[in-house]
Amino acid sequence: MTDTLFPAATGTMGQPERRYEAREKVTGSAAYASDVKLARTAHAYLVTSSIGRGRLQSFDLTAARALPGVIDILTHETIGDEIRQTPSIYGGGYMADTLRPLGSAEIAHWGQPVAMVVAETYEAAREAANLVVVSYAAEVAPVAGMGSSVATGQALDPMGFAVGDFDTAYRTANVTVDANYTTPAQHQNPMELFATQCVWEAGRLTVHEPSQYVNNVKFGLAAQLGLDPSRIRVISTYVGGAFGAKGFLTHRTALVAVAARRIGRPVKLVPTRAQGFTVSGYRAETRHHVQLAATQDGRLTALRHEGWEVTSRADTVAMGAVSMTARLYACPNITARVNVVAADRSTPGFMRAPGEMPYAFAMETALDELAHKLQMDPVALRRVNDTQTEPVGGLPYTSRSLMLCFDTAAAAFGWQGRPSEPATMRDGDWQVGWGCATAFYPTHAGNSAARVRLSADGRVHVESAGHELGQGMYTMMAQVAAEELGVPIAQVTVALGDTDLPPAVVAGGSSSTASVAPAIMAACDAIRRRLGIATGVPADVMPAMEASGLGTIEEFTEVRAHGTAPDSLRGLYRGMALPAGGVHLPDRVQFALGAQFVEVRVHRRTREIRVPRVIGAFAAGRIINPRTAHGQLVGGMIWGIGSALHEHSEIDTRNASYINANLADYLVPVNADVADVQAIMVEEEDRLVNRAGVKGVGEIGVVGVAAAISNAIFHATGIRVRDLPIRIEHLM
Amino acid sequence: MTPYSRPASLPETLFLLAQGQPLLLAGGTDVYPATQAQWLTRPVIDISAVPELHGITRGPDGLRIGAGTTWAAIAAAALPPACNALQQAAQEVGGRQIQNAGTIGGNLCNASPAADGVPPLLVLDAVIELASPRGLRRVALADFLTGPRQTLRAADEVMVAVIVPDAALSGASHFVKLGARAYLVISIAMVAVRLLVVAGRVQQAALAVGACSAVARRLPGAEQALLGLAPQETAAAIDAAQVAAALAPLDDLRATAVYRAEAAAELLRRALATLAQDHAG
Ligand SMILES: Cc1cc2nc3c(=O)[nH]c(=O)nc-3n(C[C@H](O)[C@H](O)[C@H](O)COP(=O)(O)OP(=O)(O)OC[C@H]3O[C@@H](n4cnc5c(N)ncnc54)[C@H](O)[C@@H]3O)c2cc1C
Repeated sequence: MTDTLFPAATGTMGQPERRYEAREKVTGSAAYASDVKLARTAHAYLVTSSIGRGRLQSFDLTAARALPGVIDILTHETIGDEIRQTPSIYGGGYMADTLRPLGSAEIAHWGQPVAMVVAETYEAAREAANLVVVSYAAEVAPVAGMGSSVATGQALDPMGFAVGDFDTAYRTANVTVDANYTTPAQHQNPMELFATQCVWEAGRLTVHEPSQYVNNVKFGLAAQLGLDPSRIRVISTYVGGAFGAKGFLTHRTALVAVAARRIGRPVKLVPTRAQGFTVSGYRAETRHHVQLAATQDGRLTALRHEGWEVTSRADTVAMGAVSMTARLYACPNITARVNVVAADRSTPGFMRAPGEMPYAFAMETALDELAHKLQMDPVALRRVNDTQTEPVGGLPYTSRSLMLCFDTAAAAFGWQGRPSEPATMRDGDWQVGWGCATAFYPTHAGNSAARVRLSADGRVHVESAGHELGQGMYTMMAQVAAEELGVPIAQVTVALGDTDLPPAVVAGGSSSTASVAPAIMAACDAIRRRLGIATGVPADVMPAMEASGLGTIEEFTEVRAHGTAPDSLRGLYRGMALPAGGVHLPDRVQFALGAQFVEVRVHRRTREIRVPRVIGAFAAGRIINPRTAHGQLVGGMIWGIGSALHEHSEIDTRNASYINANLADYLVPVNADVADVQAIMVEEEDRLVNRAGVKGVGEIGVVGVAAAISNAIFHATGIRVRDLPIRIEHLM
Repeated sequence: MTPYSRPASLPETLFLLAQGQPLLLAGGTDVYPATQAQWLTRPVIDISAVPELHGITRGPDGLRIGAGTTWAAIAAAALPPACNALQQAAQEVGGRQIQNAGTIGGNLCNASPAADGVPPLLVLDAVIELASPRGLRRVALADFLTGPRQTLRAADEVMVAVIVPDAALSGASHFVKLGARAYLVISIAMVAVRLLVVAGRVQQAALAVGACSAVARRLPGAEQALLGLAPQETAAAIDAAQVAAALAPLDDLRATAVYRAEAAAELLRRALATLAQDHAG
């Protein structure tokens, strides 16, 4: 079959192999965590706090206990000390937040689990959960979010930095921009809910849970339950979307494990969509103050980016992506600061391009404002300030193809001839505008191990506890082994998502391929060495395998990523393999870069906003599989449309609850909102980032789209919108 | 436990209705989301198995659509062009799953100002048939809807059918809706228009606007202004001020009154322009 979208491999573009697990997924035979059938399963249902701040006074469990089928009810009073207090990932531990599951009578946020009912059926558990009567005391008005005042913010000094003399440069500049931007709270809302199943057999615990880091769950649970980690196995064969929400251990897992141990039966919990809004982390709302100064010809002379982010009272979490926005363009005088505003909310976490999306919205919109003031083409402004050396520490980029991306995307878009004045393009009753923005994402990798087995019959089996989130991990792992050993991909099988396999990095920070591919390559090298075949050049290992007379060769390798501590390999075996790289290296910076171009149409009367075209060009080093990479980029860009126009977790300030905690009211773009989205992959070779030359494409597609849309809306209408999501009412 | 029954005939339904203050349940797509309590408090009569409420038939008094007919069934039916707006609305009530479960009767009895089924039925001069232990009665849809979530339905009545009189089945109609995204969304405003064009001139015009006033309305003044025009001239004949005066729109969290009036006029123009294109083509 010819494939026009993905022609054969060239240069840094690999083969567009079809998805390894496609058949299982389209036929529905792929078993996700909640699909796994365990004999005698009991069902759990969470009761969550209906207040935003206060204390539990008492529970009346009489009616719930009396319901036929109810087996057990866990509350902070009935659970005892079965779950220990352990630190969060921010404090060197494993938990997504520091609250202890059912740890006390304190209510820290709306939606906090306060009880879990276990029953014979899901229906009975749910009904009983609704019969649990919870009395709350000392209900204090919660702080729901950022509020109107940012004065309450607490500066996080280690995240701030300065070079040169911003104040003087800004004061004496020809042209300046000074503006504030906001982005709302958002939730990942993966299609697959936060399911957990736990089963104990002879003192050993098996957990089925969709996870971006199975070893985090294993070692975190061991710490919480005081168990030897070797007694815990975590399995996550398929994940139905994660986007950061399934990265780290949440309260539910230990609760289900404890319940299963108490009743001596497997227990299954599938929190509802609404409960999912507080079961795991989310993207907190942010506020930004950006000041830019430039010479008349557009060279940046001063740049200041200060961010404020909402966090919980229990944890200080900030994405602080000023570390990136201040390093994108040449500029001698820079000041950056990050602040957090503590609110009575659940602890925020990581959502696809966690800091990059909101901070890029602010910086890339500010640059457009500057281009407009300078009467300069926005692409030309980026070109004038392009640099191969980041301006804060003077470190080189390992590779940087930003302007190639701009030129490629601009040509595909037809940007040339764009009128510089806003509100000048029309199509009937529609005002038309074009905007662009830079996309960036730091290149990360973490320590990973892999095992590869070559059999005399030509079969290859690859194992690594990486994670299939839908991004194409199975396919990538099979493909790398097939290429390295010169065998057809159809002969390669893959196992992943299981703590019994060689450990790998957390599937976060777009680091999976950049981390696991080098480990697979190293294992294949070891096989080739055993067969006396030179490494680093294409070869078919089978003739040598035949000649060797061996039945099987199996090699296990661990690979330490650049920028990780020398002793960090041990962390692999403690669930501590976290990505390194990006802007946190002593010798260099590593980024994937891209350019987003957008056409918007705003109706003259109704102010409806439509996005008929989005074209992005991305340079992200070697692309192992253009098909799955393309899916990541296009999916990311569609997320970008949602972040610009739709997504917003709306908060009821009375109890700091989410009003639209369902998929009818939490708007994401539907097909009809997404017309023509094109992702172009620009060839780029980077031999420094990692052995595979891979920068990662999981998140960059989201970055910059919201700014490009807001810039295009300005170009269409002359109205500058600095708050997301942009809606009809902003354009009246 | 809440008593639940699923009658298999209309007489059985009426018998149960006479017993108390039950909640009628059709597709449940309004009932369940609106239930803030964790369970239904009133006895439930599930009318989804009542055969008399199902199906679309053409009879002596016009087109009869059973109140229990789902949106998916309405969209799939072979209906005259006058019902295009109704069939288009049927494909824009929620998404496909909602259309498979939600019914026309539920949409009308729920009486949300944003009910997409109402404007297309107003331009068809639809009449509602209600049954109770006391007998049958018919009410014009325009009278049946009395306010947001208020109707003339008595507690012991079940809606049996929606009837479109033959006289209104002439011409062609079109439906347009506006929301915060392109599909699967609550209407900020929606319109239905039906024109009968004879010898290149508008002979009958019916315009209805929803979500812009407490109850969706016909716009008799604006309709009058279209009579005698060529279809291509109708869009330009919509006068935003006249539309605003007729609607007396409300401010609410989804839009302001001024915006709604402007949007309603625009949607009417789009619907008329589309109909005109059909005539030209
Ligand atoms: C996700 C989602 C999206 C939606 N999107 C839209 C949309 O875009 N546009 C729109 O208009 N609506 C929408 N709705 C609302 C709903 O789907 C429709 O109004 C639907 O037509 C209701 O029909 P039902 O059969 O489900 O009603 P039910 O929920 O069963 O009943 C609704 C009400 O009508 C009463 N009732 C039902 N049938 C009768 C009868 N025969 N006689 C007397 N009383 C009766 C019930 O007692 C109840 O009060 C949406 C709902 C959901 C959940």
